[in-house]
Amino acid sequence: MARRSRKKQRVSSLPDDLIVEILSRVPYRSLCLFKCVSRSWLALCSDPDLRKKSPQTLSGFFCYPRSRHEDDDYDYGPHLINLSGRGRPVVDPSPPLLEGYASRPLLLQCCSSLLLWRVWRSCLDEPKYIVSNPATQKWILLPPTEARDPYPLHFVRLGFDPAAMPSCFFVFMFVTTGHYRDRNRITGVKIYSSETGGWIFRQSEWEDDTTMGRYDSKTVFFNGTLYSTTTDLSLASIDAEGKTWRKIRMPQSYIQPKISEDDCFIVHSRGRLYAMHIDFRNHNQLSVWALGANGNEQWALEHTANITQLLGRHRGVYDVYKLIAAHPERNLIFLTGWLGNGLMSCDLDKKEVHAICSHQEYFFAPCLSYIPCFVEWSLPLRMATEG
Amino acid sequence: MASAGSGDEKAAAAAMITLISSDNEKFEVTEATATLSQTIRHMIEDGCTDGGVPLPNVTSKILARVIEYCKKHATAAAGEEGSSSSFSDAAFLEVDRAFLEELEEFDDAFLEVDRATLFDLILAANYLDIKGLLNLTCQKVADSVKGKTPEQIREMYNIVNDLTPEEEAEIRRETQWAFE
Repeated sequence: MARRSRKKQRVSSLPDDLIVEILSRVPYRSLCLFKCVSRSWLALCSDPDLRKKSPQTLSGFFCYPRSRHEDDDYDYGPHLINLSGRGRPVVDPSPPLLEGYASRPLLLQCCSSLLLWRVWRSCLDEPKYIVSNPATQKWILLPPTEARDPYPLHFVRLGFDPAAMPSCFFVFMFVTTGHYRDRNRITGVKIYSSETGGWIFRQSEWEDDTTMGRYDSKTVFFNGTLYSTTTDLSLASIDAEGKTWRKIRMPQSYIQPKISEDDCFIVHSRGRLYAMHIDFRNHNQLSVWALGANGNEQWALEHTANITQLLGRHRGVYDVYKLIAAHPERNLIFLTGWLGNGLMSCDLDKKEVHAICSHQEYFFAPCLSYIPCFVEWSLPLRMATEG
Repeated sequence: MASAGSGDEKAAAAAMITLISSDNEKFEVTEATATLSQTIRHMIEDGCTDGGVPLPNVTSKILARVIEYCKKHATAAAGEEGSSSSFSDAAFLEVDRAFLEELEEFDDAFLEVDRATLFDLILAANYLDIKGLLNLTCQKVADSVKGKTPEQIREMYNIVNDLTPEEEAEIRRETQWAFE
């Protein structure tokens, strides 16, 4: 920056409430940095109300570390890896400890800022679910649903959209037939709302043969709607009230009808839903489609790139990449490589690749992207205790 | 809906208000322009604008800029009302889009000022309670500080670091991730 005249220009010529007005438009990361400016800035930037207002963005990824000390049995929960791959993480995602439970909670999903955990009291019981906010260290144990699911390995997904509803979240538990032959066939959904504190049940209005892989199905939640990939390479959506059920084909199904659901990838970025695919048979060609870019409910191919070329490598036999996440505001994707390649970011505009961390330190399944949210829940207290 | 509720519509639309800056300069503006300021809108509603509205906290230089902003945005507001009530076909939407783009360009050019002027505009927008202008100017400052280090902030705003080295080290330890 050019150094201009050394006129007395002090930010303190603005009253504190206007400085707060400005700082509430600065990312949380900058707020933390600005605490070091001076004593009065420390006070301003530490204001919890300010932290609630400050816009947040992708901070890192939750992954399980590979190594742990033999005698340190307690340190086996997921860690947050910062985007830079270094430094102390912004939050500690330690799973909530529950008395009388046989297992430690297992991390299932991170939806934006909240984590969904599964926990068993005993192997005979139905599992229970915990939703936690690692930024505020608050968590709740969800009440049981009314009817038992015939197949206890529930298909659950979390829905949280801080931009639209910062104080409310939803949990979707898909009900399946439970028969051995088609146990992934969806017959309905139970939806928990943190606002009502209860579950509702809705019969499926998708086509009869809609199935989803319990582990393969990708989901995205925004604007009050959950979008999930299905086994037949469609995108099935349902709103948080369970009223609108829709289904459209995934763009991947047109280019390669034989790929599996696991290869489907969807993400919410820059206000749109994107589908992405890396075709490892074709020099790791990345295709990016946007939904509704033309104002209709159709996919439009927005971007292609050659990942092998971007990484500056010759194609090897094991040169296969897996999409992990996309940045919510930038044309930036995150992927892992199969052999020897860790987690990396790939800026599609600048054509730049950065390594974040190696696969020797962490398992990348799951690798869950995280955006902090400091908004407090307004939940009845009993929700936070045993249900 | 948006009229100030003082007598008949035509008279209200044509009514002029005199604003008087701290250095005693007088500015004649339409009521539609003036009422972008909630502060002035309340004065008009209370009927205490005869003989001009003294604004002892705003200099003529800043007031001229604020009025420039209000004039542009008052026509924008009028345009929006007109199109939503009577027309909504594609041609009109196209005109709206062109106008919004023009408005964005205006805002960008409007913010090309030195830091002292920007702060004066923030103070004036706050005092006159003009939400759009306050948002615009605060966002501009926010964009200029985000991504900066504490040292750069002190440099930019001539702030003396009154934290002890121990205190600063402690804060840095707590927020280590942000420094990475």
